[in-house]
Amino acid sequence: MAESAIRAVGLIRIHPSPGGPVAALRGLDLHVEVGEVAAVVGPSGSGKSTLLRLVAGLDRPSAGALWVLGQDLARASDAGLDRHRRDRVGVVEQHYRRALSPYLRAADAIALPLALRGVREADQRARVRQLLERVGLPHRGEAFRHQLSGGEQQRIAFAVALAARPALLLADEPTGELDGATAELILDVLRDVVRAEGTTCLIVTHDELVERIADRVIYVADGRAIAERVGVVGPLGATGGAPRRVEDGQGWLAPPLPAPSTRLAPAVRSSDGSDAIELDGVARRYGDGAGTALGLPPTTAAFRRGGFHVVTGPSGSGKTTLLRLITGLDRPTEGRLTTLGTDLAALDRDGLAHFRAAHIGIVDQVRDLVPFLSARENVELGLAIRGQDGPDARDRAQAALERVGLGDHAERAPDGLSAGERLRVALARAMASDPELLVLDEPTAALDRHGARAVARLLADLDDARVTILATTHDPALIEAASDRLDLRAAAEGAAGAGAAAGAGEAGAAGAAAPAQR
Amino acid sequence: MPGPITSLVFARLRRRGSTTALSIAAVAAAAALVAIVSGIGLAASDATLQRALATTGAERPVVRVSHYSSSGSDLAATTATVDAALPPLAGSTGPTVRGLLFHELLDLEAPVFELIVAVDDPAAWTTLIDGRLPAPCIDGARCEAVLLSAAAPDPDLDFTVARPAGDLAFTIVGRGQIDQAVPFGDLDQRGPFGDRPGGGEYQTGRRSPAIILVNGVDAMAASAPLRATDRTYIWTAPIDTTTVHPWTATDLAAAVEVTTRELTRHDNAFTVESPTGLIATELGRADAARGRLLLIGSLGVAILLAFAVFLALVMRDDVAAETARLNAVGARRRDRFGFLLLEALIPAVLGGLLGWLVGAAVVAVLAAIAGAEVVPVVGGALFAPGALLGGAAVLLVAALAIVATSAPGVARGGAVGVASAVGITVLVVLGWQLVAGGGLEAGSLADSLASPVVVLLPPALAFLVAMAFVAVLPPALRWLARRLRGAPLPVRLSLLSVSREPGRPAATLTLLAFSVGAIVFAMGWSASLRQGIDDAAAYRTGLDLRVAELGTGLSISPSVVPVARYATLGDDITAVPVYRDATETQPGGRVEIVGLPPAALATLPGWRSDFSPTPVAKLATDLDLPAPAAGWHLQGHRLAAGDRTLTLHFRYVGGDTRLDAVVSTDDGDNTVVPLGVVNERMTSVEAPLPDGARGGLITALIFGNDRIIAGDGHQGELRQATVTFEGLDGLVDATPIDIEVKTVATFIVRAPQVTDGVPLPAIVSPDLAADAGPGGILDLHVGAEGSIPLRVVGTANHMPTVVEAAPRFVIVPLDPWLVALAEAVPTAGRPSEVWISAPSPERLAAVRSALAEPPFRFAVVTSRADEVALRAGDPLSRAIVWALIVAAVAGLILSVGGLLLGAATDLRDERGELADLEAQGVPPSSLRWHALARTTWLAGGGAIAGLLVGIALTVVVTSALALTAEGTQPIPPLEIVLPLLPIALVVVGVVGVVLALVAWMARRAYGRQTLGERRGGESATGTSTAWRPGTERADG
Repeated sequence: MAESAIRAVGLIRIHPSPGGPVAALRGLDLHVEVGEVAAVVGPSGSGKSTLLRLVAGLDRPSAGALWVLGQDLARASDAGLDRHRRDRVGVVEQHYRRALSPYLRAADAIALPLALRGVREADQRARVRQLLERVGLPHRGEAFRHQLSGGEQQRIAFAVALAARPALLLADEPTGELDGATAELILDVLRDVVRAEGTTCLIVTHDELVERIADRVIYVADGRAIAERVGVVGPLGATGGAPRRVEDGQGWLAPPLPAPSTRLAPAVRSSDGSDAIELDGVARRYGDGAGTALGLPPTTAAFRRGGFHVVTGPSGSGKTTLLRLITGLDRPTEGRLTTLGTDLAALDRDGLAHFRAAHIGIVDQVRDLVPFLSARENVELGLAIRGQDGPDARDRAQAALERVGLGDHAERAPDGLSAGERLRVALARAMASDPELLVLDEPTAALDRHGARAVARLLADLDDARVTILATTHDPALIEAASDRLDLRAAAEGAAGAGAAAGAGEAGAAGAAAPAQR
Repeated sequence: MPGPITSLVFARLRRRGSTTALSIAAVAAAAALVAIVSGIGLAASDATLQRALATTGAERPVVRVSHYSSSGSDLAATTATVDAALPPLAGSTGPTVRGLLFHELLDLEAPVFELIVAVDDPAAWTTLIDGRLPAPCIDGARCEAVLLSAAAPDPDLDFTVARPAGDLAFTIVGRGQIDQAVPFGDLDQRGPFGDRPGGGEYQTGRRSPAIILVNGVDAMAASAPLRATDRTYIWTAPIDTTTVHPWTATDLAAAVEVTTRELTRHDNAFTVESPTGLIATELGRADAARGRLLLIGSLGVAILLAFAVFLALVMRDDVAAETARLNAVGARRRDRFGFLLLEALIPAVLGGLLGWLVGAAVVAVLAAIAGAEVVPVVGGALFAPGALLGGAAVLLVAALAIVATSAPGVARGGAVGVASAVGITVLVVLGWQLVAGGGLEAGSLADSLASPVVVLLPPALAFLVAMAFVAVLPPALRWLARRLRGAPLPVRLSLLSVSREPGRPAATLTLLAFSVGAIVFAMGWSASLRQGIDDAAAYRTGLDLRVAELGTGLSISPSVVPVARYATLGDDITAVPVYRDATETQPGGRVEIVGLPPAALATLPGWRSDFSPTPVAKLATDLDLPAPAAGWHLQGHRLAAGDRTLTLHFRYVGGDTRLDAVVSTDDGDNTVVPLGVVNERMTSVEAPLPDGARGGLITALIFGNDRIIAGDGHQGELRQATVTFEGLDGLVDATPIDIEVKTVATFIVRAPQVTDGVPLPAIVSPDLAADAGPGGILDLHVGAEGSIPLRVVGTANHMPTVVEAAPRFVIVPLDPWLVALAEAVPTAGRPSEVWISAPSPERLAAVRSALAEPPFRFAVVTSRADEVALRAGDPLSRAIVWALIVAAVAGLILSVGGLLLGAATDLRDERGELADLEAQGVPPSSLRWHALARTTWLAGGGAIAGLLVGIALTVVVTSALALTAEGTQPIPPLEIVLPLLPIALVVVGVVGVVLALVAWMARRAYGRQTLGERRGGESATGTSTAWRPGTERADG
């Protein structure tokens, strides 16, 4: 039998809470061998993060046994846990922005763990170079955090976590804030780096992509391991044993969605002017001269009124930029853009805001709900922002919440709601004013598979003639639920001169969109 | 090579340069305040001491060793003893000067008090007025001498003194003045307003005693005629005042003590005088003032701590994120703590050093201006180990406050609870102390370093304010946010914004409460102190000038008669005659009597409305007693204008008595005409009438036991007689009068006066009012046996010119009082002072010049303007003013800096939320208004809190610290003055400047460019999945 890196037997962790003790882990058994990449997969609240904290030595089990790299963490002293964290473990945070200091250059951030351990400066420099190459960013050492893309930041975060050569790398939702393509790239890098460093890796996630690089996948639910699969599968895996699957009857362990079947419309220009959004060679370039970067390649497309449209594409393809341009939060550097029949170029910044208030509802990835206001009051505030805080605002807010299935939760504060419910409140806030256009940016990015499917169903249900829904996403569930899809990957390729846009769909579909190179 | 944590901290500080610079500037402002307060305290102490020692004449600082010898002792041996005892003083004093002073040379018959003194080198100490210096005396019996007197020699003086062992004869060869302090000390004790008993004057009635200065101590010591005469040998060493400073004064005191101990151990006839008492008094005053400065320093520390907590809260999320990152990369606990500490300490130390250096420079300048020793003051106050340690301790506490506030995992609720409990407890204790102790006085403040009230008041108040904000603000803001649903959107959003994380607004408001409070307090306290100076000056002088004249014959009572002379000063000059004397009551003790024209009472600039519950105009009216038809004039027997002699006819049966007549002259003066001893054999007496008494009014005849001479203890005997006067119409009829006199108790025969049986209206101090009998009648004892009934018509706590902390006084109408007094004490009914006011400073200067010339006698003038200048120019007074100015400036910097830092941080931290709001449809113009509204909430709340804290501090401190600007007990008590208009202008100015700058910042953030256009540079180098910029609060 191979040497165990992590072995948990009957692991129990009970957290105190205002409503009484809450059991996060209820007798979890786990085994990870040295050198393995293991993934713990499960829905929100299943105990994944608690398990990670226990393995990292940031918390202690309430009962049960936990050996990590041969050390009994259940019985370790505080100093022993400190040493464990310092000498053996590297941690990658879910929020990569938090993992990197905005004050340090990438190279300095990677060198910091080494400096803290007294490594000589020359050795630090050599190790930093090595890690930057391993994560594929040899020339980005001088960049500050805000100068790095999300994927780059995550790769630098890996390098930071691995700098001191930990025997165990712990990653918490490493792809949680990345689009699909970037997530694949990141996982690729993670696997390669872990292999190269000879490090054991434990990833907790709800992203099925991770399963594809994991040597071992442990499925957890309600604080217990309910299934395990050994061996790598999927396009990332070259070898591995036959996967063993367990259905849980709730759907979250359902197999990953197949490749989205949503139609991709051709680059048909609307001719009757009835489209909700028309893009005619719209592009966004940043900077001047040699430093010019392309935020959105020249895109020609149209979105019909009343549909549920998604914009897909790899990180950097311009999804978010496109949304900014459509909503007037940014201005194109080329082309002509019409939103809901209005040429946004004619409006100043105040005018753009008034336009949004009158016609557009926006749901951001980060839902800024006022924590001490109830869900209904938050929605009412949204109405007030749009100048619709008349005497019926309360009823309209309640109606909006009921529309998203939160009628019974109207008086709850955001802290008492789950991530999915907060998203619904944000959705209700955006919809309460009956906007003509509803724009969502990666609405399911922070949700588990179950939650993502619920949101997809909700948006599909909202799809009627009165509102045009436009969302950026890489979530298959959302894509599957949409009526139309604009794939910016093709646009990016087109911008690089790769030729015509990809995609095929039903010709003549009103408002269907596709990128086109001018 | 700095460690990784240090490098990280420096990188962080460098990257957020503006925040760091603001932090350093704010810490520097607070540190400079503390440094300046510390420094100018010592500078002011030194300047005060120098000023006190820079006196001349009798008060010139010397160490004087005196040896009293009842007869000719061995001068050589005594000198040797002194020489052996003086070396400890060598570093502080100059060469010793010998002097000799003979006692018991009073010639009762002259009456001349001849004082024979001798020095070895009169040229060194004598300023000749005319003549020449005496030649050295050879035989000690017939010597040349200089008459020491400012006045011309009295022709009656006889310079031959008969002694049992032979006559002494002095040939006066010159007249001059002597530097009294050095050889002899105060030979002529004369002071204004009787605050020191007149020595020579009392004995002789002359302005100066006749002092005969002889050249040669040894010769006079061996003088045969004076062999049995008591004498005092004097060794005087002038103090080198440049060596006396607050930091060396204890050395001088110790040397004096050693010398004294050595001398008295040898012979208890030695006495040692030195200014150590004066020095101790001045240092005590300085200590009291420094204690008060300590309060300002403590306020600075409180502001610093408030700023530290504010800074920690502003940076808490950022620090927490960095700490979490450190934790994730395996930083040890000590690394994480080191990070927190360095993060706090580096700006604190940099700011502290900067502030300390700025403070040192300011102190150096101020010390130079004040005339203090710059290097030792700056070094001693700011760079002494104790001072540096104290400053470091304050910074460390501030840094630890930051660490405690920003450290992740701190149980903040518990910490807040504990801090609240501590703060409230401290305040309760302090309040109890103040109430129970009735405030702090100068004496107790001298030991102010140990006074918890002084040290803890501002920090405790800061705690209370902070805790109040922490407790009240969150629910209040949330309540407001909910209630103001109908408010304009920017207002509503800004309320939501400050409500979302109330810790930071609470810290901002606390900081503002104390920084704005420091401004208000500085302006309020300095205005109160300035008002106190004006009040004290006006209180002491009555009007613009207070004049007394000394030297009127044998009388020891000051007198300004004839008052009519003052009319010559000009029609535009107001001259108010005032009677002043004191009497004793049982119980209670001394009562001061002030008589003045009632109408003048209402015009006194030194009268404050808080002196009496009754308006002064009504008091003046009530004090006015309607004059009789004949006016307030004395009654008596009128002498014929041509009479050159006064002749009284009588029948006399009984023992011998002395008889004097009191003649009141038309100019308001009284003259005593001695008529000699009368007995049964006499039927009349006759005496020459002095010029001034001719044509006067005999108001009283006084029978006495014997003539009164100096001192007490002259035994007398009871003498009784019956006398019947003839021809004294208006004074007395022919009815036989039984008289009885003994010792100094006289019998007075007087005329009936218009005040007979009429109680005079009087305004009295409350305790005297309580002693009044039915109808408010109070019998006031005057003179030896006299009594004047008063009717209390009002009470007052204070009366200008009655300079007592707890004054007991009566204010009476002048004219009736003089009549009544002449009745009770026939020789006393004269105005003693004149209070003068002039329409302009120029006229006042002309009046002062006129008062120095005849017909005015030797006038002692106290000027209100001089009093103001003296007090305002006092180094301690100036130090407190400077300290308050610095406190105000520091408050300004911290107010503006804190608000700007908060606004900039809010704009940075909320850019995500604001971008979201803009995305929701809030126009940028509204967001700019939101930023302004948010700052307005904080600035407005902070300004109000600052006003309240400043006013509270001003009221508490002004009331509790009973000190004038110059560090003495305030008489009258300080009145709290709040210059509301200037305060409002400054506070509105601060808020306005901040709002203007925030408007500019908001304009930059929410101008014409869209969010995407503004963040173009960021996206140019990469692609983020973030919908909007700044989704993480910890972003720099």
